[in-house]
Amino acid sequence: MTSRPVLASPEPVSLVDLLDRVLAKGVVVSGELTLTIADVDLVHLSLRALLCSARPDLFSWTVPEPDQLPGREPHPRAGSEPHPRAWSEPPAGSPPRLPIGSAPSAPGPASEPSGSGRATPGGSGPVSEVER
Amino acid sequence: MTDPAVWLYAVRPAAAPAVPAGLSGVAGEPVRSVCHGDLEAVVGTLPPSLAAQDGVQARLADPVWLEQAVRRHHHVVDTLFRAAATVPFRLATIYRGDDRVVELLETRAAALRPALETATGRAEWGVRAYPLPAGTPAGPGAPAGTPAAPGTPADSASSAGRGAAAEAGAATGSGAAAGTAVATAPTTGTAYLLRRRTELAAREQARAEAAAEAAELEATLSQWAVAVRRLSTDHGADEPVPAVSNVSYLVEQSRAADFVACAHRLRERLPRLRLRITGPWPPYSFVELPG
Repeated sequence: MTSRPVLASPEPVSLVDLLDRVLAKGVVVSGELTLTIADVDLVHLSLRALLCSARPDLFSWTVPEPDQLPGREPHPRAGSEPHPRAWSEPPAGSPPRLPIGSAPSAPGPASEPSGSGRATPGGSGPVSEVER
Repeated sequence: MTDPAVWLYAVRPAAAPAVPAGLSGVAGEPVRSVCHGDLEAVVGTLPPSLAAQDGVQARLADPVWLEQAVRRHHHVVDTLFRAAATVPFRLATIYRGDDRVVELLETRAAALRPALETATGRAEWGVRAYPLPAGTPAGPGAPAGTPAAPGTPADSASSAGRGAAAEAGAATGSGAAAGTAVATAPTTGTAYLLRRRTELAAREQARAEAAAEAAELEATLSQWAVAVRRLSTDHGADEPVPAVSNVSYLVEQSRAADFVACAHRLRERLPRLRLRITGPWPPYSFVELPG
């Protein structure tokens, strides 16, 4: 059982994954002061573009660790820092490390009878990532 | 005098565990709950500087502030999600006062309850797939020594098991040959054009293979999900390689382990793709309210 490092801050989540959801999804209702962000997808796009231009490293998590990817070509942007929170791929044959959200009070049992994978009890860190 | 601005993070069942003490929101403000009937809204009161007309709108143009707001909003939603069923609201949903939030809970209860049901005991998982380059990408980033050399099981399987992949493998192998060609006949325009055409064809083929694998990926993972949403694969020029698939799956917590295990197995089965699996997310992509 590999336990995931517990990360205290909300930072571990990749921004680009966040943008897809926090900016583009979520319940939209009309509030008196609800910003146009909620109404117009163009605003979402422009905000994302804004962040992308401000953060050229935004997509750097797509860069695999070369030594973790034997035989794989490096990403065109190899050379920049890989995403510091990215997971390395588990070795072949080992069960995947499961980033199941299993805070003790989480709804639904984190453990379940299936033998195809194992949950990580107590892995209550933020959204985790598995990358290869 | 400006009315108070109340930032709405999420709606939960009123019976959910109390909002954790010390949880703070986008402006560092304490997060609290506003209850009405069986529903609870989790909100924070923005400071006067943000409550002013266009206060938030102006800050949204500041990428530093925006990123922080995105992360803090998500932190609140994610914290709630790990404790109870949570319906996340989109960034910058703001009401003029708690009474307006109560009004929302009252008037939209019929839509919010089913959304909560959808969210209960489930989580969103994201799977993004990128095509692995098969040809010989131009540029110094892909020196001749690094192409997909045989040796790893996945690569062996890819070139041995499939004709198309074998052909692409040949194209990859020809990368070294092409490099040699460049070295020996760098000045021949025809040779350059031929090589260029081969490269483009290989790239095209790799893209098509990746798309086929992406379809298989989505079909297989969908079997584990109660709902599926396609997210944008268009991330503009900032993304060096556009994803061929960017899909969110709503998965029962009890099946999450199987879902992730399945995704890992697919990595081996789909050698043309590089997968990025994220989760569990609060069900951002599955909480559309009708109307």
